[in-house]
Amino acid sequence: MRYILYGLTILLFSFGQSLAFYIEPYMGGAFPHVSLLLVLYVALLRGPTLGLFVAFLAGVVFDVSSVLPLGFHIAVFSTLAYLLGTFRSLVLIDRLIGPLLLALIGYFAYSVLALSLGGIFGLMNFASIARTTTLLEILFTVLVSPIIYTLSLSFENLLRKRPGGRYK
Amino acid sequence: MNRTTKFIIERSSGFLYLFVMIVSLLSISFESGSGTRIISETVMNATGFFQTLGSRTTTFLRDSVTSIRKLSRLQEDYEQLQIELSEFRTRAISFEEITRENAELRTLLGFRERESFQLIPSQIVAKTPGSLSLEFIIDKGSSDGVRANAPVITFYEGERVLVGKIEAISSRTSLVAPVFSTNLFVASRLSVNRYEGLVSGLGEETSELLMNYVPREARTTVGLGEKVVTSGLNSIYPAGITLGTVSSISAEPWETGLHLTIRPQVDISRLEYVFVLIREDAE
Repeated sequence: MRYILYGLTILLFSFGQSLAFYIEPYMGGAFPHVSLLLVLYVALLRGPTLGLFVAFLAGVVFDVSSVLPLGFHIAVFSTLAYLLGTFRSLVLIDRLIGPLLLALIGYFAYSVLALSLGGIFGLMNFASIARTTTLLEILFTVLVSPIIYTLSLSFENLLRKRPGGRYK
Repeated sequence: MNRTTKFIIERSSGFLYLFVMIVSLLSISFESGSGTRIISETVMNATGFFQTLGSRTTTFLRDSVTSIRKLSRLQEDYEQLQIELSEFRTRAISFEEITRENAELRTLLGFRERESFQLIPSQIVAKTPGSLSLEFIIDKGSSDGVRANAPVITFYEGERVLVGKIEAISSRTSLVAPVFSTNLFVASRLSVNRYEGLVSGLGEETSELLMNYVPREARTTVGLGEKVVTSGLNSIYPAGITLGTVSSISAEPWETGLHLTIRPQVDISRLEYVFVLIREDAE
């Protein structure tokens, strides 16, 4: 049940992000990378397995909406989710500064991974990423991160409170 | 429980990660190596429905909210359009005469027939999330007659303006690479001076285009604000589609060509409807 709910949530947010172009012009042409934040926070709160599941679904939506081959975003998101989920016990996080820092580092790691994978397969170069990654998107992503973290935490608490919610 | 089973269970997420990575990398190798998007397009067929549905819902909600404000302007627009319609009807008659006359003259001069194109109107239903790539998705696919590499245009002040080209298609939706993509190249020429060059994008952040390989002797004649159009030479784009206007000119002393920065005619990020150009003789 938990997997279904998390799966539906990430699909909703990823598809929603692909429809964000309707409001992007009113936000300076950028939109926060909500799917990336969700992948990071699910991996942090629930560990690598659920993180990988969410990363896979977000990756599929991103890959079919771009010219990049299927598997590109899946690999990038899965690596982030697995690493963060595995080493989550080393991460100390509060409600404000922690999510902000994690979003910033997560975005940086996401770009580096995408650049590396793109470089290996000859799909993109640094100039291409540097030209397309807008500072405004990074700023928005970092700014909304405490809200997304709080929402993820509340969602997780709600799931825990339901009957049988303490068990997988 | 034996040791092997215990080992596997303890490291289940690691094995799962390995499995996902192997499948992903195989898929990337297959699609980037073969140059086809068979797997992506199969998944795109399934997700296209949801994207179209989501877009229609969003458009409906937005239109419902803004409809009251729009209603007050409708009467005014209607009256204005009635006047314009009668003007266009008059022009259409003379246009038909000119077209017939032009065709006769072309036959007399032995000119090749102009290529004719079919316009497929379509709505933008989604944009690639994130900023790693800049494509957008339209609600028309192979079942509507859209072909790979077909040019995508819009109309602005009566002119055809290039928006991009079809990069991938599924049966219901298509992926469009916008003209400001860094990997899109368009054979083009200056509309007045007729010098040719190659236009490529500079990315979404600037949304500007760069025209390279323009002969150096053009420096004395090219002016800021001059229009750049597609040349149609060895290209998938027909001639005469507007790309934008020259906003700056530069050249290094050791180079043989000029670099012209082109400001696009329309803001592509604000477009909602576009047209796919399909050659009528295309199979």
